[in-house]
Amino acid sequence: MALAADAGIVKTVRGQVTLERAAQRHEIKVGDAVREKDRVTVLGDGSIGISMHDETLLSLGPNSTMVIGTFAYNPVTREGQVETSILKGTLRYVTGLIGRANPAAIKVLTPTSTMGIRGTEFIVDVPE
Amino acid sequence: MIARPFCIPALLAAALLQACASERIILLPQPDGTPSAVVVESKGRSVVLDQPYAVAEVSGRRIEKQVTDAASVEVRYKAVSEALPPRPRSFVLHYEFGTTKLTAQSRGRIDEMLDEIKRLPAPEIIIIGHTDQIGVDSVNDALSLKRAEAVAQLLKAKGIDPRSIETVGRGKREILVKGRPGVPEEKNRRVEIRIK
Repeated sequence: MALAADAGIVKTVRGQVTLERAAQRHEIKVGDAVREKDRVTVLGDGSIGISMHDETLLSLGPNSTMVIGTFAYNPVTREGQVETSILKGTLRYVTGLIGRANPAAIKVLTPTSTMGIRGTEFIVDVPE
Repeated sequence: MIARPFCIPALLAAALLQACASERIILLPQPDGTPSAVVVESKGRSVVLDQPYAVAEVSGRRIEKQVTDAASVEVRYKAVSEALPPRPRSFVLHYEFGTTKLTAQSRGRIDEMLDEIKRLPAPEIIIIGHTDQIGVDSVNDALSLKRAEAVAQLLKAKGIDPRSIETVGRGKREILVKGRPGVPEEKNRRVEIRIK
């Protein structure tokens, strides 16, 4: 169930994937919720796919770490903000409803770069 | 060979070499073929990727533009691409004029929706009510939410887990058909169900 505080729901998991929230770390599975400030880590050759509340789709490939920096969404007005950081590994990203209404509200960060998005699907690859 | 700025010469240890590997950002085509773009910025420099399979390679202080293709992406980024959740699907239900009775065609779509929901991992059903352009936001928001909740009841009665359902009333924010001001337009009174 999508609680107001939830940013998204895990839809696919392969191998071992962990979620770190408020200094607690545990394994994550299909149906679990992710929230703002969560850190998601794919160990080894696993992967994870997450559908965010605003229909942003994202997936991580093997040996990847991502932080959901900001997620705010109003489903009535479709206003909000999404900021995601990929610290290492591979991220595939499909913009959702927030980005359709206001592309400037979407930000994807790597350790060295910032991506501004105009209605888009893309891959980010950050080597270790 | 010309060494890239800030890169370690190739004879040094492999561990150091890794510091040199480029970040890559690859623009993918939109499924519906519409144009899209990504602006990649790093240390005060930027490039625009606006063609499918354009690549930005970021290394040290440089951003280089390259091109790849569908086949290479499929091989190199297979794992991450296979993990992407299915794209949301949308169903629109219409009502017989002035009633809460679904049209025959819309009733037929309910079974299709139920099949789709059963097929998905951790399904979520977002039911969005819409009104026509008549009236003020506060009234239309409440009315559209009521329409959405009626559909939620219907799906719950069909055995869908209530916890997977979310209802939203968008009032007149997403008009399908622009009618004359003050004239009701039936096609706008609808409920959209987005399944993901």
